[in-house]
Amino acid sequence: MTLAYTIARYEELEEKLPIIEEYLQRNAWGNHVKIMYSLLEAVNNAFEHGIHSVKKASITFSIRIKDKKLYVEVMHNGIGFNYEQKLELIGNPDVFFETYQTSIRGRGIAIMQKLADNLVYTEDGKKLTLIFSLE
Amino acid sequence: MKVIKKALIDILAINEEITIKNNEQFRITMGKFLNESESNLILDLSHVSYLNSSGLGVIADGAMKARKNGKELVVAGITPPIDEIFEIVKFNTFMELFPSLDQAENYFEQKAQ
Repeated sequence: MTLAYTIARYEELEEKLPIIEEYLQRNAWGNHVKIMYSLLEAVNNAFEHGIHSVKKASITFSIRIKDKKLYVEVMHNGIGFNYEQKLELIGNPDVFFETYQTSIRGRGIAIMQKLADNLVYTEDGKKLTLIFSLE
Repeated sequence: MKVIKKALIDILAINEEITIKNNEQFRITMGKFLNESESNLILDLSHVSYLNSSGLGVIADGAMKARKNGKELVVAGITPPIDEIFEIVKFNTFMELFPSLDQAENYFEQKAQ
């Protein structure tokens, strides 16, 4: 079973949360907290940095399981970003958190890197795929 | 978001999740709390099950600003599910984190003795 939604307002995400929670608790018990946090952070980033100043923009996200792996995909039609530069800046997330201890911004991607087994940006940074091993 | 003033301690209690909807309100409230409170500050997250990375940034910035002004900000209510996130971002390396509000209050009370 795949969950897939398209939203344009944060309230629409909030409406879906009970269904998503239930799906993760049923299919990814033990990992559901970190998957939910990562999904919220990814959608949060899409709102804050991707579509915040774009008219008629939307965010599509999905959760699916294949071969004991859970895939979270978050894509928007707003403004992309130089993800290679950002990932290079982060480098090792543990070192990044120590270096930028009291920084007010910039932790979201590094947190997702720690929570997910793999993090992949494509489409000029407009699409994020997070992969979680369920074994 | 509610401020509770005690003899030695000021507490900012958060009773909602910190999301994109109230990030800015949280930043403003925290700024006011840091400016208007005495030296021992507790941010109580006992009733918070989620806060986004922007909220984490506000807390880290708040800890730094408090220190610059001779104050100390600690966080209470660091229990599942948010404890894992605080561990990942290594906030325990530059500020005190407590599972309960009582433990945070005890920390300041013992420091005052």
